[in-house]
Amino acid sequence: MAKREVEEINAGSMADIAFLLLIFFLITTTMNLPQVHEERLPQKSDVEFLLNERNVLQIMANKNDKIGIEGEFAEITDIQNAVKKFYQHKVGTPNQPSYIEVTRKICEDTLESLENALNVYPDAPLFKIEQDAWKKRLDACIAFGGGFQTLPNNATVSIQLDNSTTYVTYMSVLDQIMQGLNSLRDSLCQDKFGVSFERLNDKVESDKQKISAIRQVYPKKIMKEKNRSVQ
Amino acid sequence: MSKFSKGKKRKDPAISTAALPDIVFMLLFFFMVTTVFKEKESKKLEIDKVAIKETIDLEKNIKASYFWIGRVPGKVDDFRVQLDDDLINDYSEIKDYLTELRKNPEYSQVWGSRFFNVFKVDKKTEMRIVRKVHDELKEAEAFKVVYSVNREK
Repeated sequence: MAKREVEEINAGSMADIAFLLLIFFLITTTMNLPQVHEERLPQKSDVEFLLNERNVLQIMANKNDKIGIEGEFAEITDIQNAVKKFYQHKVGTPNQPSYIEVTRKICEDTLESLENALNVYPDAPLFKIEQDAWKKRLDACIAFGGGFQTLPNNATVSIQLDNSTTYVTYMSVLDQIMQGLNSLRDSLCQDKFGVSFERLNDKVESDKQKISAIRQVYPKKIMKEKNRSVQ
Repeated sequence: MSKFSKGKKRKDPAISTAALPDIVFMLLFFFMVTTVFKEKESKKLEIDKVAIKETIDLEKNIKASYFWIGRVPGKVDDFRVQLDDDLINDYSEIKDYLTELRKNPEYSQVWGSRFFNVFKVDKKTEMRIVRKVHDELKEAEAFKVVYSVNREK
């Protein structure tokens, strides 16, 4: 029989296979970004704000890491519900903030009177802050296609910690507050836009407006009181 | 001479090595893509990080200063602060360090917007230490703080 020379194997398609694999891994692999909790420190000032008792949700932790809500001992998981109750807009409940009504008309009227005020006092910083706030509210009204109720400007969740409270307690309290807040935001988002809040992407312009609108209704307002010893 | 020569030795064909670079590149790319760079770690302090549920991704391409607060290895209750590479002895060093950093135009441009103070803090740290660092940050007008945490499933 004839002995034929063995043909060379064609390796031309090897590169294709390699690229296929490369692209597969490129698409399926995700990098984990470091996970963080973000916070903004307040400006250094000695001014004491006088806050209306009913506009403040007071959360405390003592040196033994025991939690108190509005002056009474509580479990750390209770914070979530307390925050939800504080933010939920039911008018006329005693010891709850007096929520402000926001509609398109109110926004426009307020902006107009602020405009006039700024013409008289062009450098008044408080008016400018107010103007910014109301512009955002007007945008929110447009995004929702209607009005809403929100917390008054000076309403806040206040955290009081002892100097000996441990860091893990502080983080857990912040986490509980954010869990409560985010679940409210999520149900509002489902209600108004039909998507979950987490899935909105702040790099997309239309989503960005939605995020900003929802944040107007449920703003993150956390105040840390300094060096007060809690009993 | 026969029609079918038997005497001539048949040579094996050379194995093609054309695909070798492909394989090598494939491996290279695979490792390039799957490698996650480890977060900056402190070698001088022991830190047991906190795990919470509501976390956000840290932005990419930020300018940051890194603070570690944790235990000195081998000692029981000696909590110290490490700023970038060195342990600090006095809290006022923080302000000096940040003021120096701000003179660099790369940092001063983003100071109010994309300059972060990344905190990695041990669970058991007392808040007094964190507060002292915060006070220094306020002095240096560096208000953005992020706490590096683990995400709880």
